[in-house]
Amino acid sequence: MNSSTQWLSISGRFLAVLMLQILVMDRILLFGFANPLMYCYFILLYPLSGNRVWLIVSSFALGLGVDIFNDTGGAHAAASVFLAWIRPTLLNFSFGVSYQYNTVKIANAPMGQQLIFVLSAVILHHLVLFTLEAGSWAYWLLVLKSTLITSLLSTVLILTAFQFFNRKNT
Amino acid sequence: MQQIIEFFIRNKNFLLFLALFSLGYALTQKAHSGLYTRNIASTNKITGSVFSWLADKSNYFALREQNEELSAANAQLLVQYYKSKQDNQDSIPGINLELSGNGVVIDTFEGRSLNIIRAHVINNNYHRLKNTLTIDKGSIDGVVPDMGVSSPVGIVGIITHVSEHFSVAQSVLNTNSRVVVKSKNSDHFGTLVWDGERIDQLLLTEIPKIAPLSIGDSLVTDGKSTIFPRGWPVGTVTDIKPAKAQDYLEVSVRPYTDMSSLYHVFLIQRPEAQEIQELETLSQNEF
Repeated sequence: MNSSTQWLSISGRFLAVLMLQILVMDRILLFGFANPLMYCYFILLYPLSGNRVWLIVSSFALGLGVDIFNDTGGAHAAASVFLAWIRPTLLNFSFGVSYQYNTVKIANAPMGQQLIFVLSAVILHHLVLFTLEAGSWAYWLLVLKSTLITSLLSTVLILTAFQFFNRKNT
Repeated sequence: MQQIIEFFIRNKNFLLFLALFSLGYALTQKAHSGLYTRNIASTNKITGSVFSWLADKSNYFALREQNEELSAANAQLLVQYYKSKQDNQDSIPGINLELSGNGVVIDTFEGRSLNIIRAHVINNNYHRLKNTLTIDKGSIDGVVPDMGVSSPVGIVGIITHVSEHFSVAQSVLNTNSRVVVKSKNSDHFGTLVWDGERIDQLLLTEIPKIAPLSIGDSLVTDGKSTIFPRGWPVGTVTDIKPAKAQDYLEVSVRPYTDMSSLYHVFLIQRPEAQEIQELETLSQNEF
């Protein structure tokens, strides 16, 4: 894949994920409060060899887009930036150092490794997000509860999306 | 100098992360303080039109429920109207509707006039701790901050931000929300808050133990704040417990409005609100 088609596919995925989040996912409320946050998919699947600075900047933009439609100030933006920054650590933790030599394709890796990667990323992202959104430690129990349930939902959705869209070509 | 530049280049990812994270954090804090920037809220033009479009599409599916609620409200209003006619509009509080053009209704409530704007909720959330509503009327239609928002059956929130065509309201399901309410039968008042637990349960705090409250009592607004007029419906008492602070009660309240199914709302303004506020600031300045 040369760099211009890669650039196109990244921006296409950016828009698709943002639209999906705002138009579909934000309308879904399971158990009355769990709102799946699927847009982390973009950050997790950003090319492994891609520019990290661009990943952090585009994650911020993506989070801010979701924030604008949710009236949450900058909570999604901050959480997304955090996830973008911590991603290499999580990759290392889930797939071992070999990911650095471009031998790993996330969507083709063993299911267990994928699950560890997505679940840990999503839990960290949601924890930061809900803590910022609550704005006070007084609600820690609620924050933990929403983090846990929403994380499970988001993880299932993201892993399903991996199987559907990225099995063959990435 | 060389070393400083190298330090920046080496840590550029971390520094970028730190800068953008702080920016996001600052925006979140700003949103919590209630002073939104107009660009980062759903009152702006792009998000407003997306929400209008979505509300148009999704309303179709909620029509039945909305119709039922409206007809119930109509029936209730009719009864009140005729009762108040009978009793010479003295003893029974009722709302008299007098339609004028462009959806603005000039009404009277307990003999005093109210400005009421009919509007629709185009974005409603109730699964967070700081829930807000986006409403399809803005400054062009006469909406100003601090107007009360009410469904056909009871209070819903308070307008916090207004743009030309849209406005955002703080829902009663917001941990920052404070509304002064009282029992319909007495003048003991308390503050209605939300603990973030359930969307059908609000908490009435700071109400003294000697207040004659029992389960099933109706609660109405107190009229001490300048937002809602006195006697506007709020909800019913579902549970009463002694509060941690001595001599106070902690009362669970079920709001009349189903906060998860909102479309038709009224924006209420007391015409005398400005006068009261001016008078109060004047008296505060003297001390």
